[in-house]
Amino acid sequence: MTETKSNPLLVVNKLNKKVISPGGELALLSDINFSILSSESVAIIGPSGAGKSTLLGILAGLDIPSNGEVYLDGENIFDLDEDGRAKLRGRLIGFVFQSFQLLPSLTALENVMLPLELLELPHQRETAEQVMERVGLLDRAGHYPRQLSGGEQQRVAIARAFAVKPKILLADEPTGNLDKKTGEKIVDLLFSLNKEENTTLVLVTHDTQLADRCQRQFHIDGGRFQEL
Amino acid sequence: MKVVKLALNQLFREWRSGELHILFLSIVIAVAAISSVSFFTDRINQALLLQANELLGADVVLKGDREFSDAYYQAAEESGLQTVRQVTFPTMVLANEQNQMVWLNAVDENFPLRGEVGITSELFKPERRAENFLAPGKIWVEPAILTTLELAVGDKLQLGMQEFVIDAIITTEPGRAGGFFNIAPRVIMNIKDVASTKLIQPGSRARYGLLAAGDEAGISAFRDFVKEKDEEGILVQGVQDARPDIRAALTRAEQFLGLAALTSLILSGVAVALSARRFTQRHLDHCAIMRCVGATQSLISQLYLYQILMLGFIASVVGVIAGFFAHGVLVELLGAIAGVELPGAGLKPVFFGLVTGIAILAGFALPPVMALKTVPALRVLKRDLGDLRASNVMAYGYGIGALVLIMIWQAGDLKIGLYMVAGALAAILLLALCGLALLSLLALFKNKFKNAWFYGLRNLVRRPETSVVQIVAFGVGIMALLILTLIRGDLLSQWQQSIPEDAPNRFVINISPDQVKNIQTFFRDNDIELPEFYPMVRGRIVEINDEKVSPDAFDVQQAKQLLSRELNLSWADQVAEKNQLVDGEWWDQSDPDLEYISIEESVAKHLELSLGDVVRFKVADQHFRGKVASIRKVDWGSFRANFYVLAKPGLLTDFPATYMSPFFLAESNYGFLNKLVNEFPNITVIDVATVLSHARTIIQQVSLAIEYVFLFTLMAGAMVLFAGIQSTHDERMLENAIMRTLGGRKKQMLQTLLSEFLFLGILAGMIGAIFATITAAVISHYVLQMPISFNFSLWFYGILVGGAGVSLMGMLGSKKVLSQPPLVTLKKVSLSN
Repeated sequence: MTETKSNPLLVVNKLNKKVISPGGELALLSDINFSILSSESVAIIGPSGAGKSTLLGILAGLDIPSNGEVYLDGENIFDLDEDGRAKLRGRLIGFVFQSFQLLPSLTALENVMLPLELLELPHQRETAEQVMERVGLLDRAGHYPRQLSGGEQQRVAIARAFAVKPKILLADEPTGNLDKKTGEKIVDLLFSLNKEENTTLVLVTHDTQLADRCQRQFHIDGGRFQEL
Repeated sequence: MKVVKLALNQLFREWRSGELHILFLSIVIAVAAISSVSFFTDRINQALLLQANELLGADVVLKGDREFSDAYYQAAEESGLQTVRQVTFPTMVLANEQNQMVWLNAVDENFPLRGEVGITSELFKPERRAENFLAPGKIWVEPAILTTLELAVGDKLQLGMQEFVIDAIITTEPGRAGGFFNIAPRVIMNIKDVASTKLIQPGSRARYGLLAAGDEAGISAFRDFVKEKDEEGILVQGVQDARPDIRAALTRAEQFLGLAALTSLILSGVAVALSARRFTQRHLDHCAIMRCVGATQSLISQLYLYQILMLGFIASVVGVIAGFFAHGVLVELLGAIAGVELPGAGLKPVFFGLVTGIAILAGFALPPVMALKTVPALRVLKRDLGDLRASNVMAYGYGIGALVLIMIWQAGDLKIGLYMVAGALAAILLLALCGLALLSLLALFKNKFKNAWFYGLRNLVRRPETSVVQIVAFGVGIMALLILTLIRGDLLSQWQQSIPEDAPNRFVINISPDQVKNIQTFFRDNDIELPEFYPMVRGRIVEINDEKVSPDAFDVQQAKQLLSRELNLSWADQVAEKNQLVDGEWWDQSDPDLEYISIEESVAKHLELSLGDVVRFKVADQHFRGKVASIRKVDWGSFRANFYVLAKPGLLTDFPATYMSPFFLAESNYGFLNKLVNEFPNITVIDVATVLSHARTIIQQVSLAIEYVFLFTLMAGAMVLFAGIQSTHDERMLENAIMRTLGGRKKQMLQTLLSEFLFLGILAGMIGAIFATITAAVISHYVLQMPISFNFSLWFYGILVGGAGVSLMGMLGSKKVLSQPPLVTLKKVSLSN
């Protein structure tokens, strides 16, 4: 499909997620509809427990909604089985997590190489080194996560996310475990890479200052979703 | 291919991180243990297979208690075979006023038909092939004869009524049993000289042999002839069934050594299971992230499967190599079973080792690890998802299944394999229950003391599953080593000491009836207490209740042995000392019916004889029958003259007999023996001390060999300890970091850790000592028939070895916990979480 800025990359239709709790049925997400264009940056904000991470999980195909549809690059991701969604994720989606989620037994470079290896892409080492250099950590390529600071670990995580040149980057509270100053640097890095790579950015955060940097903002609370 | 390459990359990274070391080493130890036994038994089997001719000294050997008639030699010649006439028996040699019991092998000039006799002219000089056979009047002797009698080649010695010149020293003799089976050194003589020695007389213990060699067709034809002739009492051995004594010994050795190796396998499996569980837990996030970045379930399965298989293969190769080097010690200790130089090992032990290693790893590690494919990708956002807690049934069930298959394969028999695994598991379960009981007892004290030395005890009690596993792992090894040390040392010594001081220490056999009075006079003249003389007739059981019996009709080895050789029969008018009637009645001398016999109870049991059964014996070319009138229990440990079969006086009078006598001779009267043998050269004097010493040497060597294999069990136990430490590593690190952050001193942390391992080791030592004590009591009472006594030094050594060994290894495995600064620990553990 030819992509233009006017074609939505992500389309969500009538998304609902309900769970059974001791108190009865609980609606985590209710009737959510929105679309995001290529290269847009979007923030999803809301208080703790509002359903932000649940929504992010469904958008990434990590979780299944009670009903509704999610189209990613024109494909209904829930028409695919779990392995199909995994392949799609590898091809299209990059992830950045609050807790970095680096593999402790791999060096920084090897963490960045991991998705390239899984997708069997060529020039894995060279590509990883390039991205490491872009995030300013090539000289730490041989270090293990435990030898890196929080900010450095998140930069490695960002490098891993961008190594496969994803079409969409999903970031779940990327600065949640960092101090303010480091967090700002990480956000700067995220947005500059986003601009360079023309990646769509979906950012889940409760930080309004961070949300203000995005082109669009959605608010979620009590399962209800609206654009600000 | 790409998946394999990726898996290899991941394997390398996991190895680098130290995650796989215990898994790897556990497999190496298990494979080394089983391979060392496998290489050893394979080489003995190869010797039996490839060198069977040399073991026999021929292609086929007939053994009997009478000389073979000319018909046999004629049949062999007609079949195109070469033959050797042979007669063998124990006898005495005399020289320099000393005597020595020897085993005489008298053969003709065609000997050997297969293999070569190696000789030398001087002790410790290189051997050469014997080019020419012995001339009459000359003998070849084994080195022990020269050293005992202070002789050299060229000297003379007396054999029976004939004097011989020592022509050479034997270094290699085809057909000779290994050192395990000979209590006397060998002498080779020209068969033409036997008559002049006058050593063979009616009723003597000589065994006659007809050795034959030739092509397969000729051997087959000759065997057919022997089968058709169907003469009683003839044993035929060919290359397929050569040396049943070696085969029986090998089977026993295989079983004991296999059991020791199996224990290592079980413990290694436990270490693998513990390590695999930790590996799985540590890879939950790893798998979730991989699923996030595009890995399918199938890819994850393949990656872990290939990693496990590759690790298993590499570890097994290392284990096989280690086992190969390790088996050298077994060859040193037990190689003499074969009696020939052992050929190289075949490929079967290599294959067996590789399969064992991969099977153990796959059985104990694959099920939990493969479950990683089910970890949901959503775990990256919700950490409570995908926590795999494999059930113990899954964790150990497949592994035990793999073990059962391995042991059945090794034993070559379904029943034996199942028994071995069931026995080992039952023993381990018992130890585990005992360990749990002791731990529960200790738990009562955990809060009584507020000292850092007792914090360790609390840690043990807090993790009962891991603690019991570690206690048992070490307890098994300590128990085995204590039992074997006991058997080698205390038990045998106690048994020997329990023998009355004045119990007979010499047996003189082969006394002809007309010599009895003269020998009695000789004893009296030399002021030696006159012993009892017992008549002995050599007879073979041929029929029971009018039905012919043969060794093949019975499965039990003892029954086969009783029917395949002549027994020593005697007669008595009263129940002998140290004999006790357990069934039936002793005969009434006034009853004119003579055809009664009394049977020893094990003979009755193995041959399924009861009162009233009629047994027919063949003595020389004659027969007699006897009805079982009574069954006796014999105290074999009394060292009296005891017989399996006693006849009513008068039944055996017409049969050729010799006499034997057990007697006690003080060491100060040793010179009497020389005079006795000099005066009566045809008799043989057996030194009981020599026999006991030989038996003791065999037991020591065998128990050392088994103990050696049990060392692998201790190593596997260490792996279980390390795996247990590793599985609680993060917890310990965090506890230690928090306690130090809150003000705990390094010394207190050290005490806590040390006390935990000390208690663990002491408990393991106690378990080992408890079960070693029980086993020793069983052996004392049922096997050696001694009163049970408790050896408290067992407990001391068990606790010392356990406490010291486990403490040392535990502290080594916990070095990082103490040395790492708290902040680094807190950072590292939160990264993992």
